[in-house]
Amino acid sequence: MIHAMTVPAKPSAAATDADEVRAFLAGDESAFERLVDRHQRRILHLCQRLAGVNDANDLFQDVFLQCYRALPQLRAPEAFHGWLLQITVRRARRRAQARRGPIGVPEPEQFTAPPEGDPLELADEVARLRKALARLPPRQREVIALRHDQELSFAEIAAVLDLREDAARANHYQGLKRLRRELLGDDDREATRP
Amino acid sequence: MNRDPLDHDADPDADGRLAALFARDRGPEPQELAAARLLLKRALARRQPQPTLLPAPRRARPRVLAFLAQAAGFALLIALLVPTLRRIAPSAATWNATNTPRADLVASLADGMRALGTRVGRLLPGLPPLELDATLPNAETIDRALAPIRSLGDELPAWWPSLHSDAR
Repeated sequence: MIHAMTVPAKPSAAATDADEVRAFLAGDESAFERLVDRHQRRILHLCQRLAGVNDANDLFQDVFLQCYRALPQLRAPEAFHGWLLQITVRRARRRAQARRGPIGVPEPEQFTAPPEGDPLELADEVARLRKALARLPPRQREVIALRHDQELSFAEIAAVLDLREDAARANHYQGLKRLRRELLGDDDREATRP
Repeated sequence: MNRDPLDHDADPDADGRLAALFARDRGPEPQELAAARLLLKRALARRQPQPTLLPAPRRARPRVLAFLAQAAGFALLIALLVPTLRRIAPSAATWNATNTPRADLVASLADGMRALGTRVGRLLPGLPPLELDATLPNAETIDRALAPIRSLGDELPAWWPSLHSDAR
């Protein structure tokens, strides 16, 4: 598995996460590659949301290392995705506790590549969103990232974060409210500039 | 973005803009993903996390404390050095008030030559006696040695003639 990881394994279209987990547990190491291929983009995105861009790579490898070690103990292969998200959130919390500082969000000019569309304007808007997210309380940031980036239902968010569903909804509500205030507040200030 | 049933006072326009922003922030770029994947490959090969190219930001050092520590160190150094330097080097005022240091120098030169004559006489008893007075410095020798100084003329110190006459 390790030596072949530079070339992404081709996941079988029909194989589910559970199939790949079972294949890995049966000794097929390339199945883990396929799992990484399948989830790496969303997990790295979540890592960037929870830990900031500077620490995202560290968190990313931490998550998949932990996943690789603990996969044999996963009792329900069907729950792999939620389990992986749970590992990501817990590892991010642990790193945040160790760091005890604000998460790093790059300035727009530090983005590796501007998004499509109007590059400057869009990069600026995305940067503002990332900064506003980084300023949210950790629980609200987790809920919003899981809701809007990972597109989970509130029931799934509650399971990942070990919360009650109404607590997940409340955190989502508070987080959105704060985001609106921060982002629209910025707009208001800009609109009043001479 | 899906509407939240609890979000009764949500502003549809604001929610739409937020949803658009989330949609535009597509997450990691391909090169970010490739870098993360490379690190993961190394980490899995070694079964432990690998350091990233970007070092974790260091916590800012307490600059005020560092500055105070340096200032205290310099003050201690100066407090130790100044008395020592004062002991080693006499002040300019003392030097000008008396010519004692220079007179001492010449006197010790005379003593040294006197001792040299004595020792040479002891070490080489078979040789003909040196033309050195064992008790007094040879005045001619001193004259020759100090000729360059005497050539300075007016710059000779005030005590020079008396020493010259004493030696003779």
